[in-house]
Amino acid sequence: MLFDMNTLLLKNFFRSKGLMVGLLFLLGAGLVSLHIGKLFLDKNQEIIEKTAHYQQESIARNVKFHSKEIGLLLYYVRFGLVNEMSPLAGLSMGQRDVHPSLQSVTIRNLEEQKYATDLMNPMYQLLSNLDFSFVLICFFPLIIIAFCFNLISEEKEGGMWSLVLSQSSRPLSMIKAKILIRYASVLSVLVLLLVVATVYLHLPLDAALLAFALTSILYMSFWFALAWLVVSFQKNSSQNALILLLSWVLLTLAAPAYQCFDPTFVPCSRGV
Amino acid sequence: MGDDEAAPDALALKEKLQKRNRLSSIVGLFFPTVHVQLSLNALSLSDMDNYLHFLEKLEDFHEQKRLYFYPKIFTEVPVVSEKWAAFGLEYYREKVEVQWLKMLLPLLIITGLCLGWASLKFNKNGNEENFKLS
Repeated sequence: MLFDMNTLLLKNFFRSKGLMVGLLFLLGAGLVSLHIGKLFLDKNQEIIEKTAHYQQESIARNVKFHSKEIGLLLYYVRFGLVNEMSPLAGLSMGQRDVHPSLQSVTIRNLEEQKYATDLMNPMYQLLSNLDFSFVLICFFPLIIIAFCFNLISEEKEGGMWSLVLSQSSRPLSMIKAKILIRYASVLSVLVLLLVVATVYLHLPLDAALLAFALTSILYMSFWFALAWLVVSFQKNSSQNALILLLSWVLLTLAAPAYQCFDPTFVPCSRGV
Repeated sequence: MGDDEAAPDALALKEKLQKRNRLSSIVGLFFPTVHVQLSLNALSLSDMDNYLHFLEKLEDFHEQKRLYFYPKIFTEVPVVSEKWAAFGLEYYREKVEVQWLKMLLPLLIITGLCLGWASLKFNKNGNEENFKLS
């Protein structure tokens, strides 16, 4: 009896076009973000290699022009220091797209050289890159909400709920099976993306990668737990959707903007 | 020297950035999205801490070059006597410190709270499953 029910639930899940489109969207967005990460890593690698070569050339040229006076020569000579980028930065760019990973400094005052960055469009910087962490943090919850908001309410609104209650001695196990199917499907998309990332970005198999994967999986599980909680209130579809979407807005948009209300904010004297 | 004059302000800026960093971690304890973003950044060495450490290393690097060259400038060492080809690009490698408990515990706790509350809702009347008809 239980085995038949689960097969039916599975069949229903795979036949539902909306749910399949949702999974494909996640996969597509994830793959695009991985490609953007790869381009970012490659560009950084190229810059470092070019600078390594250019530094030698530039020093040699300066030595040729200012061969008489070492003080004058050292006014111009630049020495580069590289902040080595972990391959994981392709998945989660963080500050690496704002602050350069390579600083070339002269022996003049450091304070005016420290904050030099490349010319970049501030609008694009504000929007930030579509990297894997963005897809994980913002897109995955939306799909999870879309999958889970009407777990019980779709049965109720479809008129099947009274049948389920009368036929089955444990209706909770049916609802649990529904959410577990959805959990397994989103988890497999996440694991697939992580595997593709490991291969495509040549990520070393170390503790950091494991921690990254575990954090991503736990985050996804949190959203399923939240959806499960909202489902347990047994409200109708639109109320469930509203509650979950409001939580999404609060968690992904409002919380990171807390800095506007930072009580420790005191402007530095004279600024730097 | 310009650097010495700017030193107190530079220090104030650093402290401000560190304070903000700490505040972000505390906010992250309550908001899983912020926590996950900060954790993933920390694992990828693309967070504020890494940037601040790099700036410190840059200061040391700069100081070391100055200490090496200033005596040579003031004693007017001939340019050709220096092995210029030996000055290549230098690298700062930071090692990732994975703090398992600090990273996973907030997520586990909040997930557990959600599941616990949901099971209370589902089993309101003791063992009987609490389902409304509509």
